[in-house]
Amino acid sequence: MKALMEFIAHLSIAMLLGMVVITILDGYNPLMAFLTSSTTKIYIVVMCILGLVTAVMYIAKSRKS
Amino acid sequence: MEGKHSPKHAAPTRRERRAPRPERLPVERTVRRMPEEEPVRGIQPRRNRPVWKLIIQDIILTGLVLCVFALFHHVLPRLTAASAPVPTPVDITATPAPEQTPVPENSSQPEETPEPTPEPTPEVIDDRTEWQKKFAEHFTDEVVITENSYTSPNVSITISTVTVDEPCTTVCYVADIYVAQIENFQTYWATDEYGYYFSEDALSLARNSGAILSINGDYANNQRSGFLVRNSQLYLTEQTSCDICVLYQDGTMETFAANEYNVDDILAKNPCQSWKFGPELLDDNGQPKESFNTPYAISIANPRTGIGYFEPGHYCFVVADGRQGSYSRGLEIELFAQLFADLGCKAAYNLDGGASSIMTFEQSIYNSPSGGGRELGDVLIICELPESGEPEGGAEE
Repeated sequence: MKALMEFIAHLSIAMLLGMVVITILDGYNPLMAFLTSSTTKIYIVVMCILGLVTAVMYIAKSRKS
Repeated sequence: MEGKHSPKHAAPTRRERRAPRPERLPVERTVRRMPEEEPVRGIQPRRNRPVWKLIIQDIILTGLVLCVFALFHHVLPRLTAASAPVPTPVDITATPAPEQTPVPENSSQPEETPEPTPEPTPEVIDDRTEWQKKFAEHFTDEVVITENSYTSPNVSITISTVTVDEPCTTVCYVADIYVAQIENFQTYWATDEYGYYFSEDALSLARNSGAILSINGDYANNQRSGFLVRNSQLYLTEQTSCDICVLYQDGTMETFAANEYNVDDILAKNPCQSWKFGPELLDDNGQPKESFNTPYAISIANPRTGIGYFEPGHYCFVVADGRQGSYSRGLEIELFAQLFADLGCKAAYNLDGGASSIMTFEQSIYNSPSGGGRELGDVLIICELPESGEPEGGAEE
């Protein structure tokens, strides 16, 4: 469980950094639809879910301790 | 040997005169120590990884995430593009209804023998088009080709090199174009087919399309929405967030700000070409616009391609080299607009740029594309028309 929590936290960081990269790329070439494509929409949803899971797990852990 | 400054004879200092402070009681620091894990069955206790390892791990993970994103955003759509359904174009050429031949009424009266009419005196019929008459001084009876020009009874192209020195040197190629009819100005898809992500190198496109002169287009086959007409074929009829440019069958050209046009109004005016990249560069008075509908990253100095309109039958193609150090830096969008205004254009429109900015003339690359150029999805061409009305070329190798 601990390993899973750690992995999800790192994956959240990676996806957030990826989102920053995508946003910068979109500024350079908006016609590539980096921020408006269906792939990006799915990416954002996954990122939100990961962020939510990370936050819930952190709160649950701090309440236990 | 003790001096007068020895501590024995020194006067008590201010600190010493103060009442003695009570001694501090030793504070027990409550440092919680984790009980040392005893190795169980010979397994060493797990230690936290150092921070630098975590950072590297996260960077690698970010790279993997971006690779997966690129796979779904770029690679898979291209692989499946061939099988993806594309909009079926609708021919919007305004063809006049064929005149009906009057049917002779049945009559019992015998046909009168027509009287022999005197032979008409042969008249010299001027079958030149309106634009051929208007721009007669630019056309020649025979095809004349030089290093930077092409003239024939139907097409006149003169390419000049313009150097913009401020703020840095940028080399631009301006092709001044006169055509006898609007069919001499066409567009051509990569692989001669409208399909998502189809692309071809510029020389191959010029050869296959039979172009005398060509410039890159807007890569419209990479986009699945917007308003799109090519060679009088209607592909898409949606509003877009980018400015559009429309060339009509009567030779006029208009540019529209994003979402400030009505598709039905445009269709009513019989369009034959449209582009959706932008931005539009000039205002209604032919002066550079004050603001442009384009992101900052695109508005900075770049290699550029654009199209300008003077009057029906008279256009210009402009390609600005860039990203090549002291030879040519590229143009900001404001300077590009100013260039068209200086040329005297009434309307001008920015097309795809960067490594896509390529001009070909007589089957060879005329400018110096950034990074050697890239494959293109579509081109704007000036071509001769055979009797069939289709652009020449395609068959010859």
